[in-house]
Amino acid sequence: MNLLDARTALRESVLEIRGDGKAGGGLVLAFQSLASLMLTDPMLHVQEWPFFSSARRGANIRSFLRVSARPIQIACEVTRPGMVLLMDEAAARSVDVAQGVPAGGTFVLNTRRSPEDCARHLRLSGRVFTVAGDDIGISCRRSRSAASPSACSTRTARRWRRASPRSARGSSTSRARVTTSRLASAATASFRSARRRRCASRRPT
Amino acid sequence: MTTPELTVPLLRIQTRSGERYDSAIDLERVRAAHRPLHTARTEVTADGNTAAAIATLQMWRAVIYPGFPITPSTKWIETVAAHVAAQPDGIKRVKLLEAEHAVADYMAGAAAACRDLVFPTATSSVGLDHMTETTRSLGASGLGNVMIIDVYRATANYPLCIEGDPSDTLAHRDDGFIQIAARGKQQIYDTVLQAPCLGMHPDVMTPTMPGYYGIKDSHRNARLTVEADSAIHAFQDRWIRPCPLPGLINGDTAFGNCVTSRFFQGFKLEQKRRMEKVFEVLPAIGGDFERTFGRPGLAFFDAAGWPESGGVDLAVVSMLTPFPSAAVREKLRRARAVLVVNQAHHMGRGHLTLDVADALGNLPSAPRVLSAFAGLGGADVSESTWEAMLDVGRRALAGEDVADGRIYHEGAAL
Repeated sequence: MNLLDARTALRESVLEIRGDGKAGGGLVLAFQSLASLMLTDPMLHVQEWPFFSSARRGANIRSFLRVSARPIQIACEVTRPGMVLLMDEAAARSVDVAQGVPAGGTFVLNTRRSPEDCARHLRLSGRVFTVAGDDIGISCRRSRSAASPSACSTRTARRWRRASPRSARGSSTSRARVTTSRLASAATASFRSARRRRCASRRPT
Repeated sequence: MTTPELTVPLLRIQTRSGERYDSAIDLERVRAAHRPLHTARTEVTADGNTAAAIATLQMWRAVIYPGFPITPSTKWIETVAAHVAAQPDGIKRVKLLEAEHAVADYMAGAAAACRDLVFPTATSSVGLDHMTETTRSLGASGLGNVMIIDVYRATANYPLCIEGDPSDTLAHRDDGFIQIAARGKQQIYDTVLQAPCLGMHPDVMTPTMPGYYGIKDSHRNARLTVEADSAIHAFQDRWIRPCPLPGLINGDTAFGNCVTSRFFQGFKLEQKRRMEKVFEVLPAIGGDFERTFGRPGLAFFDAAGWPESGGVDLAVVSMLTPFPSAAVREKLRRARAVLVVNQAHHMGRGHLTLDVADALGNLPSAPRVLSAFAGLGGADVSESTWEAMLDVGRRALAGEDVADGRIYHEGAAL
């Protein structure tokens, strides 16, 4: 299976991301933060918006994000997302998180389950990542109330699991221990360094 | 005992129509007290409500912000209130009222008393409906300094739907407001900046209702270019001049006055003539905006076009009221068939269909006008839905008898 390359999509067309979760769970805020981070790159065009019904805590919600190196004219919903985020497992009981995702798409799920379990249970194909985000959040809160705020980054270590297309079918899984703060800072640093490289290459000689 | 003789007649109009009291408010002091939000052109991340709020906050003429929150427009007043709260010694104030009806009433009084200041608010759906009694009066008032930003949402509480559906603004087309639809953050910001220039123009003097889609635009974050306050002030001051109020409005014949049918008809005639002046003034303001800021200004149509070359073209009407019939006729003169896509519920062929058909009606060889509905309640209009609607147009051109006025969704006619 050919995996969908996010960088190519971003450069040549539009990288589309969809998130599913429950109202009050931070999905909208997460997408807003991601969009804000991406918009610090002057070369990127970003659209981010939520989709929700009545303002009721616990109701199913969706968030969409488009990012491209070209101006984005399209305004309709994201129906074929290259990346999908499941913020709350309970949301998957009433929506098909894999709906419309082309072959080779990427799934990031907030769950204690393994990528293989999720791939089998939710019928996912492509790259499947799982992260026990709720546990991380709870332990961070405990750490913050018990000690200094920075304690959580050193004390909390959770598994960031990745399943390759093969592993999604049940074979071996590559695993890595990464703390929450490391994940966030690694993503930010990687994004910023990529931006610096792009800006530098465009600088007039 | 004799009754004392009346020395003053019971009814005596003391003030001339449109009298001004220039010394009542020191505009220069108001202007000097403005604290700039941006001193240079800046790029920010904003959603539609924030973009509209920034635009209103940058106007030195906007000092009082009456409002009442309603989804999806709430963030407008939240943003304004946060800014005002952050500057306790500034002159801008938020007036949170008990309901939308009170907001409209408050704006009527304040805008009539301070005609050179701009009074903006934002609302949606039934919030706009709740204002109706007063919006009809405001529309006729000549108070071009009133601006109701309408964040489109289906105008019903049953079933309740908070997504972008322009049925609210289309239900208020006869209120007498200039209604302009904006799409995207930049257009929202730019439209709100230009709206008072149009509404307060001495030939127009009509309140404005810029609008944009709820959720899709009100909540969609993207990059926004914000101009320096000083540049905005220079632009607006070129267009906004002190002017008297038209018609019967003065200190003696104010809101609530009962007039005879003769006066009423004359009043409505003047109101309509002022509204028709929009067709002349709007392109001039839009042109000046483009020359000043380098972005498209107010226009009858959105600049969007059909993405592919071929026999299909797209015309997106931005000006809802007054409807630019002459411009529509000119644009569609050579079309063989016109498919009008309506996004608001209508018992007939659609609000826009009727207007477009009316505009094309007297052409020597009028194109066939077809009607379709899509995106009701803010439903997504996907590419497959566009294809399905276009297919109707193609089949009609091939001479087939096609169904008119169907609702399309996810590539199928419902």
